[in-house]
Amino acid sequence: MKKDLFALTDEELIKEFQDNDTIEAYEILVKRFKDPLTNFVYRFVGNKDVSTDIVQDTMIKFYLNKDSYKSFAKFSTWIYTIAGNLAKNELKRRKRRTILSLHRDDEEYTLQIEDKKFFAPDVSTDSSIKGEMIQRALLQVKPVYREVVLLRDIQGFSYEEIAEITDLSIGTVKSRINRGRAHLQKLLKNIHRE
Amino acid sequence: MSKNFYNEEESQFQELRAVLKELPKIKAEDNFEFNLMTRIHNKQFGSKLLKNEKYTFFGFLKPALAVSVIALLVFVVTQNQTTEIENPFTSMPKIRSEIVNNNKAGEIPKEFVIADKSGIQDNLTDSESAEPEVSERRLIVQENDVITVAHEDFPFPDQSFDLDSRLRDGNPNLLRGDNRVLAGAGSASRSSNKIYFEGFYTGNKSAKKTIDSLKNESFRESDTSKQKSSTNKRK
Repeated sequence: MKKDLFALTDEELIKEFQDNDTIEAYEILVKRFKDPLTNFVYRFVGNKDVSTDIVQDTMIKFYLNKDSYKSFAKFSTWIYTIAGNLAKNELKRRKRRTILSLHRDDEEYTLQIEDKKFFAPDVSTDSSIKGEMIQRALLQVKPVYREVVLLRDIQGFSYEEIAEITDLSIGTVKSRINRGRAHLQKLLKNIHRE
Repeated sequence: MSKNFYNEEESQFQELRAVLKELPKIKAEDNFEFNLMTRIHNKQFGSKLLKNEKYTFFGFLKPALAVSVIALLVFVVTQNQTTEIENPFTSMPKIRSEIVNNNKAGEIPKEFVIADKSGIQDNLTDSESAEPEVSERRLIVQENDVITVAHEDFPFPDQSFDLDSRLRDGNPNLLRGDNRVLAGAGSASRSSNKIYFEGFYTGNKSAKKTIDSLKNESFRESDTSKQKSSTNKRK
């Protein structure tokens, strides 16, 4: 039975979970999407613990609201929409908290040093520093541009899929991606030369 | 297919896309699934992110508290300043009689007493002593008052009296305000209804004849002296 479930597509698995409440189908989908979602959310918010919590909440929402998924949409776009919205809400909440508090919350401004155990063993120190610099640059890009750039250039979604995830027109997605990239390129000029 | 469709736009940022592709992939924690399934089994569906928020009462009100304390300090400081500085244009001047009444005879500061009170009677309520015969006067003055004291030697100190009350002759409305006329003010004052000063009157009517005779004599003497001077000039 389990082998059969592994062979199913994402959409077939969610259908199985919706129709028969099969928890194994849910677990397989969690297994498939936990890493790409964690990568996306981490690049978006810049904090490992927060990104883990956001992905956990995403999976809980998926579990509780499985019936809100419609079969004509791709499962990946649906789950990325949930994760993206939660990540954006978290950023807004942090911004509001920073304005209200008198002292600067250092956690908001210092980039969390990436835990080496999350990287492949062949990743050199030099590339990790480079990766850290890119992450810093990414966090300086406005969230509306950052989200679409991440979805396109790191997660590898098409323009149509990004438009579906962000609920924007393809033209808006295209312009936002270009603007985001231009800004990021400006920030990463020195890295390019190296 | 979609990737080829947007190749033109994306060729501009090929280098950047390559850099982003090289970024290490972040993976979920090893116990991610275990934690998730535990939450589901225990039906702990509340968000961890919201639980982590520390909305303490004082933390939220810190800015408001600071502003209100500063406002209170400013109010207290400005309030003290306004009470200390008296605006002379808005405050009413102090009435001298009140000060005199408030201060008892023994409590008057020594520096404000010009002369000794040797001639003043203590019992001021007595009607007979309302017009005391004083050889020296005691004046109560304020700090900014200007006083000129004129010493006059009256020929008959025992018979001196209050001229104002005598002229008023029991009528309190006389010699008040517009009814006061300067001696020798001229015909303009005569034409009006005001009282014209025509000289001093004696209290004792029997002495009036002697005063009139003296006055006539003085006029005669002045006339004769004028005539003598004129005859001398003619000569």
